[in-house]
Amino acid sequence: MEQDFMVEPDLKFIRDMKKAGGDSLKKCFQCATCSVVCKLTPDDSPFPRKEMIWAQWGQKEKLMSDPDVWLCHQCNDCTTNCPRGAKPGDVLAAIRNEAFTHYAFPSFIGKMLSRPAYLPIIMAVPVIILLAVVGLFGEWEVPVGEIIYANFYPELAIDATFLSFLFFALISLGVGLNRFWKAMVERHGQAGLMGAPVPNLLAALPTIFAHSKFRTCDEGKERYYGHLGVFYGFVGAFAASALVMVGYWGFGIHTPYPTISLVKLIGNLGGAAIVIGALIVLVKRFSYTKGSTGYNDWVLIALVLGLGVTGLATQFVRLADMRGIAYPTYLIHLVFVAYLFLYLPFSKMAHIAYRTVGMTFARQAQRDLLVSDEVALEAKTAVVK
Amino acid sequence: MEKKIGIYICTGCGIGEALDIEKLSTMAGNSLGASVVKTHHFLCGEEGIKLIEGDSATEGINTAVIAACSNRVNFDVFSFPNAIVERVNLREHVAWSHTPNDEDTQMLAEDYVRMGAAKAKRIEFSEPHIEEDISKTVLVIGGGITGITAALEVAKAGYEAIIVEKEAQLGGFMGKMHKRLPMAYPFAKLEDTGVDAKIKEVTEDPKIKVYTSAEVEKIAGQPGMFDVAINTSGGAVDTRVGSVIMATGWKPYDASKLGTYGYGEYPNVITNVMLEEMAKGGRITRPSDGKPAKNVAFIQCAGQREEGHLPYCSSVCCLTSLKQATYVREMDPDAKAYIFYKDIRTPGQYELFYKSAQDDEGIFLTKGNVTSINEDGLNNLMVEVEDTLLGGSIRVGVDIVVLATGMVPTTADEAVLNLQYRQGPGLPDLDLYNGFADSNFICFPFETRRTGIYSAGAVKMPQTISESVEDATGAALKAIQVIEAVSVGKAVHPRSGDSTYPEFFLQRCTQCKRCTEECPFGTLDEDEKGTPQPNPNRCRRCGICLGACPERIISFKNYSIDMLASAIKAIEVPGEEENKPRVVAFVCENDAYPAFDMAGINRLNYNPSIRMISVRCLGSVNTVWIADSLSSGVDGIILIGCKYGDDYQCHFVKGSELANYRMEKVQETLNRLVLESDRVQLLQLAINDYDKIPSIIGEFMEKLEEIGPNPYKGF
Repeated sequence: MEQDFMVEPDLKFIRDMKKAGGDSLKKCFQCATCSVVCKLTPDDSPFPRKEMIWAQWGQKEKLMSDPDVWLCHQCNDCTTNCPRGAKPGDVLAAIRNEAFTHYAFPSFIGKMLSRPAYLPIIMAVPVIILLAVVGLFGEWEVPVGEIIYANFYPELAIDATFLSFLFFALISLGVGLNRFWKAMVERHGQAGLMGAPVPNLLAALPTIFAHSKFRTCDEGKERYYGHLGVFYGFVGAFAASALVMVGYWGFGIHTPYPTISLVKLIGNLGGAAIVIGALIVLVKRFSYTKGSTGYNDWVLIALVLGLGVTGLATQFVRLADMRGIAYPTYLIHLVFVAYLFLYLPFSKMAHIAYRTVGMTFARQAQRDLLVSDEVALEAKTAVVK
Repeated sequence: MEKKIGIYICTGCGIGEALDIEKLSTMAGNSLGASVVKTHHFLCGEEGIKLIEGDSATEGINTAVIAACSNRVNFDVFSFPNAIVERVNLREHVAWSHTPNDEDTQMLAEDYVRMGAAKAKRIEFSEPHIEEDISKTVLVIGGGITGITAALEVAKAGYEAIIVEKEAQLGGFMGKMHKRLPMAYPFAKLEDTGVDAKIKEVTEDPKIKVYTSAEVEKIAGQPGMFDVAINTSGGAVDTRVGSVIMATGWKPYDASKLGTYGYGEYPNVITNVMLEEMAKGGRITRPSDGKPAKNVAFIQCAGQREEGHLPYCSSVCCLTSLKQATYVREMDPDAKAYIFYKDIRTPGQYELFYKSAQDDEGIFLTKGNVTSINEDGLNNLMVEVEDTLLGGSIRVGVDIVVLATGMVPTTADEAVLNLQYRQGPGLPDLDLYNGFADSNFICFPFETRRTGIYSAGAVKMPQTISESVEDATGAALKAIQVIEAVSVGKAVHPRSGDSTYPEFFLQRCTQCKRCTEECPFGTLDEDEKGTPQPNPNRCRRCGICLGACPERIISFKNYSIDMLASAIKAIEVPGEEENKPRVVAFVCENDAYPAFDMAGINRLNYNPSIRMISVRCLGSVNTVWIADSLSSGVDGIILIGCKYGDDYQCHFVKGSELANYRMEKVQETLNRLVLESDRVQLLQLAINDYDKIPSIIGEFMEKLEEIGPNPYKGF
């Protein structure tokens, strides 16, 4: 812990955190119940207690360069047990939301994403781009004959559009993550860092894929299953999309694929996992009254649910030959996908990258020992004793 | 008036089952000089009361010895006009606490009836002492919110009040305040003080006379007839009042002693009172250059709870700083207020106010020790705080530092009242309360050790406006109560309604001054020779003077040296060969006696050798009673009374302490006479200690057994 530092609370940052879902942050009176009940925190300088006082005192730099907030999976054990209703789980989520905006490149998109007022503009951008592409390369009239979405939005155009989106997103994300990493290293200092980033990243991956930290939550048990479903649902959906692309460019296979095919199986399982997972999260959000759900949370849940539902619906209306609504459904699905790609670095969806980086750094700074590691360590010490 | 004594023995509530009533009434009839001795199974019932009243009408019985239950119950039932009533406690102290139908229990009952009869014979009819020219006006010293409220409450109750205020206008500190604390749920919004409306109410009230720029020069006399000299800007005013409310409030702690915080050195270090006055002016600025103060640091407990400064917590400074931080933020939404505290103390509902202030994004709270305050060349201040909640030491740059200095009572270094009393002009022994005009009269708030003078508000203890208002209301009722009591010649608490008073047989006075010095309430003045001059209206009827007097010239009509001495002599002390020791217990009527009652109610058994004598206060026990007891062959003596010392529980403040002092002297004397000093003991017993009574008595009896019987037995 730093000694003797100058404190200049950032009022605007406090207001932003309050807007980003942390409106209860001032209520904390530092009893540390949160850190005691938290199963994910390291013993040394545990979170979320210190983050709560930093938040109260508007310590933006500290929070933005704090790897610990990324070790939090918002189980809400802390929020459930907080005697003051300070909702540490929500506050840490708000801090993470602030990080997306803070590190966003270009930063104005980050700001727009975090404010409900800009939602119409944010939504209009992908819609306009997609409509323009349809206008230029696609079929404006509802095509006759079998419903083939590629007739409406050509396969080449799909790949061109979405690969550009992805390219933009990756560049933007890269810049943001680089800033984030530098900030963490600068504040932490080189001393005490163990190993290089890449090995630590590789070591962190099993935790991420197994959700092994998330699984230790008490209060958020159901959300673990929900998140796991959404996570592997996306893996499936991306795998299916990638296979389609490989099929098109490598083997000249055109869509639609037969309903009984590996690609379809992977895609459909993924879609179903996304919808079921998102519904679990949604139900949990509604039934958990001690914490609150902010704008960023709702947008992400709507996005995930929308992606899954419109994806499955697109296929369903095609098979049911509901030509009246088939192409609009497809367009809506594309809008959701575009939103996901375009705004990946700025929305809460970016947590997939920030959390990975945060966890990697935490590992490097030896703050993210796996529970199993700790158990092993304890066992070892016990044997030595 | 010639006394005709009737002895009435009740056999109800288990008394009849535990005692041989026939033997008891035969004894009473044969040897106690009573005109009638009767028994009844339900004496406090209608029939029982009629029995006594009938005897009064037909036989002329005017003194009733009622051998039944404790005098703490049924006192309203056994109350007969123009008759003396002496209660003998056969229920709680005999039947309920000793083995039934036992020889020792029977002897105990017989002794108690004999003692009761002996006392009854010596109780005299008394007339209350009523002074003429009683004034029913209440003097209120101090015109702050406490004084204003007290005067208004007095006036509302139909009495007249005089306010004496030192400053040119009423209002006190409340008048200097910008805002006051929230007063209603959700305790979040600051309120206007409303002091102007209060002042208007006072000045328009025809029953309230206000002197501003005035001071009380002196107060002489006694409740109902205090003669007050007031110095006003228009000259001296002499007036008579019935009682006094001291509402002189507080002063801020002298900040010049707080050089460690840069006060006096840096212009931008100010006190909470200075900030309040500045805010009332409309703008919060840096004293150094008049620029707006956007960053304000509050340092709690500045010169409080600290060695070399005030040792106590002023209880309002946390609230004040939270209030000030709140309006700093209200006046400028971009301002920042820091509060550094040892621990935040916001009693009662004000926890909600603390929460509301804490919720403000621009109020920053942390515990911590302020280690230094420094100034740069531009009068900007840098505060260094260590051991904070942020996990270490922090530095904060601010425009002004506000020291939350504490409250010092006006009584800390001034007499204030300027009493013309033999014991001095102020209230005694306030060191115990750090100079505050408080008392630990647990059950008697507002009391001071000067009868008819009540303290309220921040002079009594640090408190908020709301608390002061409540305090003032209570004190106003007390001030009225004492006037009404003295106008009919009755005592105020704790012996409320007692119409007896001490009388002095001054021909035998040796001017030793013990009574004038030892009276806890400064009742007695002295003439030039040192002869006591009683002021009955100041008297609380504790009898401490009676206990002090070596010449035994002080007595009450129903409580005197002679009366209790004869009760002691009425105890039949068995000869040494019978191996039945006897102990006289002087038991304080305030806590110890009711504790014995409770022991009885709980059917606790204790040694039956004890003979209890109820006394008004242990301080009223005259050493001659000890001598009388020992010479009558009693083996041991215990005095059981309230706790003494700094955390005393004595209802007359000094009684048990004085008794202890006197008993030490008695023990020295006993040692000189080669009589075992352990025969005399003083015990402190709280009312809730009743369960310890059997073991306390048991231990004393064991000790007596070791010592052996009183060698004077049988002489």
